[in-house]
Amino acid sequence: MIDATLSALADPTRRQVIEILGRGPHRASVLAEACEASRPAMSRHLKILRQSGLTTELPDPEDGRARVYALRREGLIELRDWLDDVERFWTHQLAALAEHLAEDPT
Amino acid sequence: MMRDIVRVEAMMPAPPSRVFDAFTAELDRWWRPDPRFRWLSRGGVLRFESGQLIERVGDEHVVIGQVLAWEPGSHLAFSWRAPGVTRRADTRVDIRFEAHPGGTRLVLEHSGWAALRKDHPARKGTGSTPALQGLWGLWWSELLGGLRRFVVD
Repeated sequence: MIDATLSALADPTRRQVIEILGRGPHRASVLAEACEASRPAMSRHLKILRQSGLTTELPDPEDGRARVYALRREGLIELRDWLDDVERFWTHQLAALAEHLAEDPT
Repeated sequence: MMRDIVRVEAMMPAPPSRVFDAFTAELDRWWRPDPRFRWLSRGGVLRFESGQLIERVGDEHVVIGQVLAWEPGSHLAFSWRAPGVTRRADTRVDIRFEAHPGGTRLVLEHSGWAALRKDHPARKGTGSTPALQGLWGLWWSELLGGLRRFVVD
């Protein structure tokens, strides 16, 4: 599933959407305007984010006919865990570099 | 507001110019293959070639990233494509080499967020009504409490 998450985040507009939703749920129209995207383009981005598990769609509490998008905790926890893996990966590689240099520092 | 920067620091037992050379020209001599971070089905060696970071196995090769900064002994930066991602993910790795007693302090940052348009109301948290915020307030505090990696400023 992390592949779907990373593919979803590979797009700068979708990363912007994640950042905006970090402040609170929003309607698609607000997201489109904030990201300077057309409504159809934003619809496609939101579908990809939903399928990746990073976001969920909920009824707007103020208007039952409208929908708002929100971040999904489980998706973000998976992303956080992957970032921990990336941190471990680089720590491991830099330890290898330090060993290499210790054998040949000049 | 929300940021994903993985930051790792390490001390290296050699001067900055030597560390930079070891990182770039000698990459294939110290890099540890990692099953979770490799791009070819048979993990190969990583090398910097002609402004790119490449993984090679035999006749096969994959371009993992482009060099974005190349200042020997000081700063190295390159784009980084996550393995398994079908579209190129433009995350970025910045490495700084700082002279330090005993050698070099190497600081590596792996980052990837795009900036939000500065003047948009959503950036200030408006565009979402108080009622909406109130309703989800408890849910949000629980969500943010669970996210150690994301920094809220």
